[in-house]
Amino acid sequence: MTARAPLVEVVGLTKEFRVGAGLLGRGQAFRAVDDVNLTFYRGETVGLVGESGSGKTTVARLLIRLLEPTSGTVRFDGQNIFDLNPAALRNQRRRMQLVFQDSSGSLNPRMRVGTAVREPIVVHRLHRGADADGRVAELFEEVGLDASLISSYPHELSGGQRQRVGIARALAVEPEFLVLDEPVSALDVSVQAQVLNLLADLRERRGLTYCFIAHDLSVVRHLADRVAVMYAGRLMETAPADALYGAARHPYTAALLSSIPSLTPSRPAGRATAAGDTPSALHRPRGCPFHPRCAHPKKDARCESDVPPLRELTQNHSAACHYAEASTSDAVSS
Amino acid sequence: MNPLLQVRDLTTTFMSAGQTVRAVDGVSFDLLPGETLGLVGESGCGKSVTALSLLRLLDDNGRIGAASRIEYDGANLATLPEKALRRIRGAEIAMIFQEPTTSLNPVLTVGLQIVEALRAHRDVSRKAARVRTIELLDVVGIPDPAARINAYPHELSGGMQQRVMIAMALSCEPKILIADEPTTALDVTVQAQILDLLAALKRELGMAMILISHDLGVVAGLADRIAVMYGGQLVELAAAATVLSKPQHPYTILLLESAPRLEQPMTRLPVIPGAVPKATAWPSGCRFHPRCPVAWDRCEREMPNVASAAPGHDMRCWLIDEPERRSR
Amino acid sequence: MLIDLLRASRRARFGLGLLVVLCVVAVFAPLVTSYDPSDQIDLATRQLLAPSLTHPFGTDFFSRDLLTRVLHGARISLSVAILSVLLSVILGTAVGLTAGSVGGAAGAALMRLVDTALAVPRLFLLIVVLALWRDVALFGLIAILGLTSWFHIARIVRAEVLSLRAREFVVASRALGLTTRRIAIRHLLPNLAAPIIVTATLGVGQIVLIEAGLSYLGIGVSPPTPSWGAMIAEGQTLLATAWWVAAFPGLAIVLTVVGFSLVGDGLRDALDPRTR
Repeated sequence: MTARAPLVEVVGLTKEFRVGAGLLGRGQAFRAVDDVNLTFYRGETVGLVGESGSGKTTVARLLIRLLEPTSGTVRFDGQNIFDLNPAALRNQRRRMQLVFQDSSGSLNPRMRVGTAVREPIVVHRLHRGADADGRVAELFEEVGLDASLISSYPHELSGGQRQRVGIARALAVEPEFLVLDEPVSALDVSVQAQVLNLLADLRERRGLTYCFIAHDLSVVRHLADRVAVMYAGRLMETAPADALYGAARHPYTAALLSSIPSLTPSRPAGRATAAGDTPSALHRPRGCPFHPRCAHPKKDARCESDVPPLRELTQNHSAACHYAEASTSDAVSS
Repeated sequence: MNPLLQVRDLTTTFMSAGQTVRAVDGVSFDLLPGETLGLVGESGCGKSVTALSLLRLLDDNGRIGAASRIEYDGANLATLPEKALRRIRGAEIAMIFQEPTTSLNPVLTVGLQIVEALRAHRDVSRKAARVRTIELLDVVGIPDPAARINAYPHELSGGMQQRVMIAMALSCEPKILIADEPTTALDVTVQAQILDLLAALKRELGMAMILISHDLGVVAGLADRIAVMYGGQLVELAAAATVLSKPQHPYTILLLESAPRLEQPMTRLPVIPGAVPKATAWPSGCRFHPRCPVAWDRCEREMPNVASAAPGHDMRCWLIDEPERRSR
Repeated sequence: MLIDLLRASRRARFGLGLLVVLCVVAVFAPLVTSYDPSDQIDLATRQLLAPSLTHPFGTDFFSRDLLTRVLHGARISLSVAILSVLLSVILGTAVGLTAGSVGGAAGAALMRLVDTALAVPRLFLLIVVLALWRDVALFGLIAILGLTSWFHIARIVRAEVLSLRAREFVVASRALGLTTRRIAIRHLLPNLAAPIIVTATLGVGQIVLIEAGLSYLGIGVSPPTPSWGAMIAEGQTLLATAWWVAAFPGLAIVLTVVGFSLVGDGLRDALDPRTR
């Protein structure tokens, strides 16, 4: 696992929005995404987790350049996608795709689903005519949809079926990198499992690299090799999946994990939950964005004044907290 | 102990595009005083419609079946005259909803809305109502309640809004609180806080609660008994611990197995094949049979009735008669 | 869509019924009566006859059979209204779609032009234009009506385009690498059909009224071509003695406009929940 070149490398990604800009005023700026660094190796699945206001959806859109960043780069196979001219960008779009959360909104209600899947094939000149139709049938089979559904309209399909169509459409251009923005959040539990299994199969069969975005840590667990946790636009913790779930270092991650309702009826006492609410985008706390809600015993004035950087604690495990010690033997250096 | 609420054969139908749709079909259950009953199921199973039917809050094209009985305090809520029902709604049986942003009036302060709820049912002066409102906001954990009483809903976060809803519901000290997906629209960390709040209120006020959710985990921490719904019907009803660790109905078993779990990561989850049927096209016989791994011909021909699988454990499944057909 | 409409609203059914009768009558006008609309039958004896079996709507000052004139008037009114609305829909959709898709400064500038045009009261604009162009042929009238009616549609289309662009399937199309032009034509346009059809249907009713008004004022359709508005003008002075000369054309206008309004409203109701 040494000098492997990453497929996608995100460095210093920042996106500011302006709110309340009127005729005279320029409005207030807020950072939806603040200095995010992520690395995706080929074949890897990175889970990006956060609650509302964490910036994860904005990251999803930035990753495939549906938005322009305020600063930072996203290098795909070494090339910064924000430097591409429109023609090159259109070619690049073949290699990276996005699957949306709300399948009913992300499909044109007046277009048959088969046509929706066929369109990118034709537009990118991958196949034409009968070949394209054949490809559509193949894709439908690959995602587990019956060929008879090709001529249906989105509203005639169930949520799970629509989501599969969305996946088929994204796969139609033969991408290498797939950003999945909460792909199962809007689905029933029994259907979630089906789609998660499908995503796992596709990943193996096609050697895909995933950025799996969710607010639910238990869903991400099943697919992610690494997990990154976001809060108020910043990365709080990144770690291999087992390390994060087994020994989270950041107080917010710990709070997230213990907030998940457990199916075992007896509640463990003294859960490390987070008090208060997620901060509104315009009124972010100074210093560490999580400090007003943090229950870490070592919390102090430094948390209020200094923004903690994302620092590496152990192999591949980083946390943005002044007091996230590594192992006891490393406590001296912090 | 006498049940607080006895629901017998509740059936609710809707008219949709010229068809009659049975959203709730013959649901029966009891609610004991101080008990929390969890009502779980996926979308389209009829759990929300059940809740709305209890207080007759359906919209115009929803009808409660003539044979339905909702016995509360000696009266049948299904047929009670509107005036008498209004006295019960909000005062003795209160309800909170999923989306606090749409359930609160955006142009009135939260204080006014709670005061209004109070004064609708109790003969109190505005001043006394205000004092009580501040108390209530404090009980539900809103910091600085004396100032927040003048806040408008949009000035509060989702979690705060939901707390205001709970305060409104509690204002007249109801005997029953119906909570319809109270945490679904909230962030996970806020959800945990609201669930803790409900647990605390349950302990302190001894209130009975019907907690509706699609998320078994949400219900697990609070419910004393859990009722599982599928296809507009009750398919399993038992003590919470039993349903979660020793379920009997194939649907419940599969639902628990296919839910993504934090504790057991696995790349391939067990699935329930197929999809939830639409209310306009319920399968014949047992509504779950097309997706059931152990279904046999009887399941397609005859609809099973709710029967007792064990003391305190009801189920709607032919496996009660033929338990040897279970492969597990 | 039409079936939903018929099932949904009794008013829409009624309106549609009216319109069907109207269209049939307009198309088959020459077959219904044996007279010619400009045929002055017999000035001596058949002037201003009250409604009777031979002349169900009576006759006018020039002893022309009124029923014939009203039926032929239907042809004129309907064709003027439908064709001019068609013209305004094509123009308005093109401008609105472009302004909405392109967005930015160019789109905004385009809409400011439209807004300025909208600020001018339509009826006065028409009167001025038609007064300058006397004796404009039927096609000229249609063209002028169409060219002054597209602004409203452009505004509606642009507003719809802006709201559609925010919807996820349009974002998805951009993610797939589709060009703006393709998105506009293959994705936006089909979703605009509903509001455009509703606006167009209501617009036809409006234009019928406007054309009647212009003809009433003498600057619309020129005689002897029968126009309901002109007939009302003729019958105005005779209301006390020969009420039928003005009444029947007036009734025809009312039924036509009501018919289109009902159908337009019904369409709006039938199409709305589906878009949701």
